[in-house]
Amino acid sequence: MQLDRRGMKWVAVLLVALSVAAGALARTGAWLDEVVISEENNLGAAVARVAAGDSDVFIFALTDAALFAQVRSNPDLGYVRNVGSTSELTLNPVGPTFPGTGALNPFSVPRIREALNYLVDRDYVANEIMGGLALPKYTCLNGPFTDASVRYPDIYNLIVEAYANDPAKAEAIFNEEMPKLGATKVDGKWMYGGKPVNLIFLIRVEDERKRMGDYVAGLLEDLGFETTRLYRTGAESSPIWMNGDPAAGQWNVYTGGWVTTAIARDQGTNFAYYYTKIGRSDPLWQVYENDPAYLAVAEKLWNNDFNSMAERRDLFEDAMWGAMKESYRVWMVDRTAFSPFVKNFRVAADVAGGIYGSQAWGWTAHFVDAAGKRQEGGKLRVLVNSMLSNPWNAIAGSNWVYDMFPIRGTGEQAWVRDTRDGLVWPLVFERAEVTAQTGLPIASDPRHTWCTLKFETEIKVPADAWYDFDAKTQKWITVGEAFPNGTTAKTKSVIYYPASLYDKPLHDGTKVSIADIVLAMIVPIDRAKPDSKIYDESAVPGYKSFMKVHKGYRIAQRSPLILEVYSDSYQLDAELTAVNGGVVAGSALFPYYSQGPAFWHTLTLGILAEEKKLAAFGATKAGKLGVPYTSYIAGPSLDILRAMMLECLSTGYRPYEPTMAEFLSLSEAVSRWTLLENFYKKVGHFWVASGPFYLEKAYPIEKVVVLKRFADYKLPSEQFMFLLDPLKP
Amino acid sequence: MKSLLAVGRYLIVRTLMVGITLVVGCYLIVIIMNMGGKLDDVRRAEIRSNVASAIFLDPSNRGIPADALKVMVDELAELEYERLGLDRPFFPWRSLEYLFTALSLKLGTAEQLTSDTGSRSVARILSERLPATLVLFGTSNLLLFFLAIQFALFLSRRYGSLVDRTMVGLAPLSSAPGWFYGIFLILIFAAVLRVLPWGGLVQVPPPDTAPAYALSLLEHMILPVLAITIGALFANVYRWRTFFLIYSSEDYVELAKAKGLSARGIQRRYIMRPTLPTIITSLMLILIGTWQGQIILETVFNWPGLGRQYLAAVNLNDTPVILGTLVIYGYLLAGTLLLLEFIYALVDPRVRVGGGKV
Repeated sequence: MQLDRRGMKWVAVLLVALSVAAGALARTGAWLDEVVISEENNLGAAVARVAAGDSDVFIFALTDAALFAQVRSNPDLGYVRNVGSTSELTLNPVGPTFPGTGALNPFSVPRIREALNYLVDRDYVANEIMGGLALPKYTCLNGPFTDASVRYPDIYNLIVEAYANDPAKAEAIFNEEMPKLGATKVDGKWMYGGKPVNLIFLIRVEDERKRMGDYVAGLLEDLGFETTRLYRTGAESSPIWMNGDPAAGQWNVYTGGWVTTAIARDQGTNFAYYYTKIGRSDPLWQVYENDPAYLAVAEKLWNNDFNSMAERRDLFEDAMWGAMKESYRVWMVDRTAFSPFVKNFRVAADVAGGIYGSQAWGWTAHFVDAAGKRQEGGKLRVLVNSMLSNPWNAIAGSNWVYDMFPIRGTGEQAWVRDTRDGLVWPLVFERAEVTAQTGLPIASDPRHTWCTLKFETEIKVPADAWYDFDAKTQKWITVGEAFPNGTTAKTKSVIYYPASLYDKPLHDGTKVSIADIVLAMIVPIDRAKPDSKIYDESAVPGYKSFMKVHKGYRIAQRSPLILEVYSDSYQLDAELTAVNGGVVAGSALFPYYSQGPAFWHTLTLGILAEEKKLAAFGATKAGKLGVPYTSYIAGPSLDILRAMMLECLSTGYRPYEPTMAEFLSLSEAVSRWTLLENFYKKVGHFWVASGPFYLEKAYPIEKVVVLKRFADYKLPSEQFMFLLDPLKP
Repeated sequence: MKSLLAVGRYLIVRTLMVGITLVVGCYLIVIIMNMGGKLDDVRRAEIRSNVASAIFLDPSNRGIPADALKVMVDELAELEYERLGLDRPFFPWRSLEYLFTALSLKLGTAEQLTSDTGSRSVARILSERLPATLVLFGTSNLLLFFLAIQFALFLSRRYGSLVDRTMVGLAPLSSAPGWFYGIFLILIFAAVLRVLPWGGLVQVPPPDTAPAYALSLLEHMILPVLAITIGALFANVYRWRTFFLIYSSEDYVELAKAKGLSARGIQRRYIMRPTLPTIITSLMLILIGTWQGQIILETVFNWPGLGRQYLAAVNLNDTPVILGTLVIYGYLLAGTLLLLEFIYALVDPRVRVGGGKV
């Protein structure tokens, strides 16, 4: 019995040892070994290539109903769907007659605008015109996003019910309101001033909105209107409907569309954006005249001027019903797109951004065997419709969505966005504490235990926090210097990093250092300062907006790193508030800028090139200087960056030395330059990041990008696999 | 000396005429492309719309006051107007700037496009796409040209034969363009048989060694070359055959035949020689036509050539790139026309440069 016990003990020890060994051997980073991305600009051919097994996935968001039918009926193919774009009818509300033409405009009457909601059959539009690749849409909220689907589905459903298709009701309203405008119906035709009432439709031709416009025009013709259909492209139509004078009477109805490539968790601004003068300064918006009650509600939602989520719900209820009464826009459908792939491929695709917009694809893309078991390794062959159209540089390089796909695979933000609901999960930090001013409508999600939320009546910003950067002295301006009497912030986020942060390897063999994070705070601010050697006027507007809400950065502890971010900006979710406070052209929490990752040494090469006026990060500045637009992966700027690297290597150069010397030792500088040179010799580019894949090579002429698994990546591959599971309520 | 002067005078007059045509043509292109300056309004509206959407719909801008966002939109839009010159009137100076930059062959900087390797220089944008275009269209056009000539000569000697009648019957096949056949070729050889690639310049990822790269390039050229050839061969053969037949029935050819000269000799000395100016003209025009590529064919075969680049420039209203492409073609055409005048004189004894009226 004793032996048995001892034996059991040994078995237990052995099991523990085995599980530890298995843990040590567990795969890290990407499941895939290699990703080869190439261009196929013919959409039909791309689908055929995936179907034929020539490629594994086409990440373009397709909206072609015929192709969708092909994919759906092919048992060898799978697909993901994503939402985000919407179609609507924008109405010109000037009137009752247009000063420009004297023509009667029925849509100057709110009730008639509202009646269009009953007239149109959104199910028909979604299923017949859009071929099933759309969902009926009734309000300015995207149906699948948080406000409509999670927070207020009850209100949303009541609106759906109230504004269901009812052509008879619509006709009755038209018949009631048109005579009030002085129009008469003669032989079934509406007449005004002895002439038929003509409605000018500005119909977009690039997509299914052409059929949608024809459909609505047909409905109005059936009601007795004459229509003129102007078929125009986006470029041709925007000077008319958006920038032209609406009073000129050049149009009555425009088939509009809007795109959102990320899940918007707070759509409270939509009520002001789409229906009031607050939204935009364009001429059309300036003719919006709202019901004062609606305007007040929309304004409160725009400014987050409420104290609790309960109050927000009341405002939303008023705004959602009020917007239907205003009906400057009649929402038609939430478009859905699809991306096809071979049936043994799996990936966490974003609800709004699909595969191309998924921030988590690098960690989650994998193949499965016939039994559905996850496979390690393999080569993924990806097709995109267009790629490498602009240079890659983290500051102001390509923002093309299909370039961002490989860029996201190579880089890491401080967090990973949940592809299902738009919240975030920590990636390079461990946890966050958010302190908000009492009364702010912020809530935390109980599933996100990494983020805690508390409220205080006043949040004082410490005097030693960094507020602004002096480009001349290259030193921080502290809060104490900027606000001698002290200042407060609406939120404070404290970000706790693991001790292992500084062991995090980069693709060139170097490791993350605090200098990377400090430089990520400096550069976006410095670029906007006229005294800076890398001043770029295109950075100024973003900086100015940022400074409206920015209150300070503070490094509370260097190792393990604890970072404090003070801001007047906040979001309804504590998790988003935690990570968004330090956002100006990228993030201060980890060196991931507007257009990708960059660590201090690689960024320095571009900075030096720009200082010497040999290349520039931004297209505008490059154009003005007549120098190359900086690319870290190919082209004429590579030689320039290489020359900068050799110069740095010979001198052990440290950027912004008056500030950075404290965070960046000479030995670290020399070590980074040396390893970067080796990296460049090996791969021939300077795209150094820390993500699960590294850029093996980009072929700009052939339009091919090859990514390979970063073997030294430390986080387990399993880490974000939960994103493939459906979201639990 | 007198004839030299005549040649000089003739050359100057012709150059001036071609030059004036080129300048007027280019300026017309500048004006038409920009809708007489009205395109500025379209572009301003587009820029403003894009900037405003990007700013207002970006969730990370939540919390920034509306007025600050509007200022941000205004400032960013203004910067873009300035970058594109939209802050200055189109007439006269900006339109002339476009013209002179293009005509001077400086070509300038693209407004929207970047070259494949990331440069905004129009010269670089065009030069990076040129090799792919030249290799595909140069090869196929030359192949097509010489095949057509050879085959036409062959048929002209067998007028009314089964081969000749068959070829005449096949000529209508050329009413469909090359890209149309390209789609079927892709379906057959790539999708069904899977023996040839779907498209692209080379395999993915591209081979690292030059010989392997060249082999892969050749493999990828098979279908597009075949598509171009099928699309144009029959009509070309028919055209040349008819042309040669006309010359074959000239009296001096009949006389040569009566004298008992060999068929090849007759062909070379009495048919080819007088038709040479036409053949050379055709060849030269085919060669310079290579410059612009073929938009749809390049799209079907995913070929990174000048045609697709040109289409992208048109879609983005990138005036410098469009103009650069057209001006270079204009110069090539003008140069070719001048050159042909001299070549005619060299190959055809009936023609004399600057000879004046007979």
